[in-house]
Order: sequence, then C-alpha cells, then structure tokens
Amino acid sequence: MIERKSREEGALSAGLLAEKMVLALGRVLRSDPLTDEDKRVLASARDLFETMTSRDVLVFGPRASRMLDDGSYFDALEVVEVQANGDELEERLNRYAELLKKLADGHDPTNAEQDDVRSLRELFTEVGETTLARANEASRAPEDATWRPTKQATSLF
Amino acid sequence: MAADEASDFALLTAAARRSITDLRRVLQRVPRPVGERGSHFLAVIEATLTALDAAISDREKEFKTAVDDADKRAVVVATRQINSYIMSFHGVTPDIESAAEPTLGLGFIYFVDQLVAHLLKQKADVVMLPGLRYNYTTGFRPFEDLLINDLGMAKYPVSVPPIIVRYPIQEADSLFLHLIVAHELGHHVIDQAQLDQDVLKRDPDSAANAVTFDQAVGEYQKIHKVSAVRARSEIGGRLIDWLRELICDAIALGIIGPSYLLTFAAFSTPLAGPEPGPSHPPVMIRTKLLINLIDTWDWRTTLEAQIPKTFSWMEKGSKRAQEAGTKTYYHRLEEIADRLTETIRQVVEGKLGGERYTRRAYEEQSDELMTLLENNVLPAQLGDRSPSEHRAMILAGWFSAFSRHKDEPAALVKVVGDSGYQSFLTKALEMSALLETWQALP
Repeated sequence: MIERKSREEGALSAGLLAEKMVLALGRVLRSDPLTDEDKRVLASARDLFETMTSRDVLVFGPRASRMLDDGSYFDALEVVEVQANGDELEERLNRYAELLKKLADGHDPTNAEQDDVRSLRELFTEVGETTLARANEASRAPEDATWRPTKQATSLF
Repeated sequence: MAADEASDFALLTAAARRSITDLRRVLQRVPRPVGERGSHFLAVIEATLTALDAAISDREKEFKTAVDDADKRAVVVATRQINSYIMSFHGVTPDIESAAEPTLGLGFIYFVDQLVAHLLKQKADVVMLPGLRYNYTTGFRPFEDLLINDLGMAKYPVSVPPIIVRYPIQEADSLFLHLIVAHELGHHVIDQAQLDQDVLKRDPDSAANAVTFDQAVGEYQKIHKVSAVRARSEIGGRLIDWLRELICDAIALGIIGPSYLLTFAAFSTPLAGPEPGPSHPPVMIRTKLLINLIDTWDWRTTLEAQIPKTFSWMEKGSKRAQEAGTKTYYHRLEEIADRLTETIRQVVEGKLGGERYTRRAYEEQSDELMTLLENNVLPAQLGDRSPSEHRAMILAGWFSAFSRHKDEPAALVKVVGDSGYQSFLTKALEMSALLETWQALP
C-alpha cells in the first residue's frame, strides 16, 4: 500500500490548509485583496469538494494531486456531512466547489453567497480543530513505537 | 485577555524551536561525508527542520496581523499542529544515528541498488533501517509533499533522492524475505508512471466494471449506513489500493522472477489468509494473479521440476474462496480485479520491457549455479570467470535451499530461518557485484 503522507504529515497538511482557508475567506468577507497564495488555496479546496462528488474512480488514484491524506479527507467530509445534516450533501458540495472557483477567479460574493462563505470559513475552522485532535490522539497511541519514513510516498507491504 | 493569548502563543513557538534545536544537535553529531550512503537522507532531514523553523516564523507574522478571532484561532491551531508534527519528528533520532551505518549485508544493498536502477531508472541514496514492526516499508523522496506543497520549498533539497527501506529488526539476515523490497519499489514505479491509471484507462470491460463498482458502493452504503458520497470514496480508495498491490506483485514477479512468488508465500501466508482488508487484497487473490503470471511468463515447468509439492500447494491456495463475512462489497472488488488481470499483465510487461527476468536468462546459468551451491562453493563467479547474475543466484539459491530442507510448504519457514545459508548467498551477491565493478573498470 502506498501512503503519500504519513498520518502526522497528513494532519499537518490538513491543518495548514484549514488555516490558510480561514485567513483567505476572512479576506473575502472583508473585501480585502487576495494574494496568489490565497487563490491557490481556494483552488485546492475546490479540488477537494470536487473529488468528494466525483463518480470517476480515477480521482482516487493520483493522490499526488490530493492535498489531504485519507484520514484528513474523511475528517473534512465528516464536517460537511454534519453541516448538511442528512440532506442535500452533494448539492452543498457542488455549491461550495462552484463558489470557490468564482472566488479564486476574483469574484466578489453576493449577499446570498456571503452566507456560504461564512459557512465555509466555519467548516475549515472545524477541519483544523478535528485534524489537530486526531494528531494528538495519534501521538498518544501506544502502538506508535516507530517513526515511519515519510516521503513523497511510503509503501507498506 | 490579549496579553494571555500572546503569552500562550509565545509558549507554543518556543516549544517548537526547542525541539528543532535538539534535533539539529543530533544531526551535527553524525559524520556526513559528501556523497556517501545516507548523506542525502540526512540533508533532507536538515532541510525539513529548516522549513519547519520557517513555518513557525510565518505563524508569528500571521498572529501579529490577525484581524478577527477566527483568524487568530486558526493561526493558533495551525501552530499547535506544527508543534505536534515536530514532536512526532523526534522519532527520527535513531534513524539519523544509523543512516550512515548499513545494518544489512552489502550484497543485499548492492542488489537493491540494482533493482532501483532497473525499476526507477535513477540513482538513489538507499538507506536500510531496522523497524520494530514485522513489516517492510519503503519511503521514496521522504518529506517531498510536505516540503513542496505545505511548507513552500521551491524544489526538493537533494538531487540524489533517498529511498528508506525498513525491515523487521529480527530479520536482518533473511535475504529471501528482503526480496519483498521488489514489491515495495513497485509502488514508486506506479507513482512515477501512473500505472494504476493506465490499467483503469485500458480496461476492456469498463462498462461491466462500472456496474460492479456501483453495486459495491450500494452494498457499502447499506451495510455501513453512510452517505453515497462517503461510500463512493471508501470503495474507490479500496479499489485503487487493491489494484496497486496487484500491480506491485506483478512488477516484483516480473523483475526478479519466481523468487518473488516464494518470498511472497513465505512472508504473507503466516500473516494473512482469505480475509480481505481495505488496503490489501486477501492472499489468495494475490496468489491467483501470481500463478496466472507464472503461466503466462513461462515459469511453470521450472517450478514443477524443482518444487512440485510446494508449487502445487500454492496453486490450491490460489483457488480458495475469499472470506469477506458481511462485507460483501469485497467480492465485487475481486470481480473487478479478475477482469483486470490481463490488463495488469500488459501494462507491467510494457513498463518492464527488456528488464523482465525470463526463464531463458535463468537457464543460461542455473545448472552451473546449482552445482556450485550443492558443493557449498560461493556462487559468485561462473566457469568462464564472468560474475553470476544476481537474480539467477537468488532463484538457484531458493531451489537449492528446498533440496536441503525438503520440498514441502513448511520448508518455506525453515529456508527463511536458515540465516547461515542466506548470509552465504548475500556474500556471493557482494562478491559478484565487486567482480562486475572490477571488470567494468577501464
């Protein structure tokens, strides 16, 4: 099995993505200019939501392009599932992906869209906290006697 | 309140920097001659510490310019996350200290160097380290994703990328088990050449497989009571992981021949049975693919001649039914894997090209090597003074070991437990590599 990120690296990536998203969406809400890094991060988050709704098996393959490890990916999905509260999950994911695309292209959100920007900001605040909690749990796990070589890729037999 | 927040934040950054300083001290204690084995790996660790230090400085700037509570909270959580990662990084300490000291026989290290050249077509800094888990892992280009995508480094810090091979600590002398590294390197070949994507794109039964995939998603959703979105992700991830394992098995068998089948049986059979897992297909599905390739690549007569009973036992094992219990979706994955077998073979054959090890190549040296082994003569050099081919030496080594320990499945355990014999073969690999280098000198 190949892991593009160790559990610890994956949690760190998710934590940094979540932080950058909260900062970037704060700038969107304040109508501050976005940096190139903000636009890159918004595009990454859009990819994440598009992956969640994709019906193409191939999207689960090139994990090089996936910014999150499996644990963080499912953490993020869980936060959206909780937000959606049982209904319109795919619709919500598609709406978020579309909005993020527009924001990355420099679009100013309408009043109606501002609610979704706020929801997204809360969502990424929760993703950051959830992945931090998972990283802390992992650091306490008794089986963690060894450091696994992390990488671009680690394979496990 | 604001003063408390600033104090809390200052504590976080101070703790991170203290850990970074401690780890740098360990690095400084280790001699690191330029270009020597392990030096590139240590350079990557040093670069990672530098990047983490810079990430802490970035958070300090962000904390100062945070506009609202949400901003501030996000920066604090990210800083804790960096801290948590740096703490986990402490585990690298024993590896820093042993990176430059090979813990395995040189013969095997030269063999891995050769496999890396065959499979990845590049030079790499192969570092072998003992691990506490009973498993083999390889890490290629350690920390690359983290450094480039998360910590903003413009390019990977070394031009000769490290490959970290970790083996079970009690198996240092078990040459025959170490051959699993061929499978592990296969993962990095898949990564480089996107072979998993290639198999799926060339799937001749894509319509049938799409229907089966949807069935698996439906079954997962019903059994685990989750959303369709989650079920698709779970099944998609499992399918890709299974596919990669099967491709790696095909690569390993292709590159080292039937030695891999024997290594696979010796390592996997005691640990895993017909039960599937999310990341690995059950042993019988993997054996089914390997036996199929043994036939297609024309090795059956060799195995039936040398180890008829053990080979027959493997064949019977490959025909067992998968035992998935209530998780019926694993049967759908087996159906898809079966339909993809021929495509996997084609893709791996295409990738390996002339590097694939053939029965003809083995038979050019096998009689002479078997005679040397039967007489306890180091099989490093042939009668015409040429060095013995490594893969032929290892396969002849397996067969000769069976003749010493009897042709029966339980002999697999005796063979991998015969450390004296495997050290002898490892020395032969070393001598043969030296002879090759010597003869290549101008």
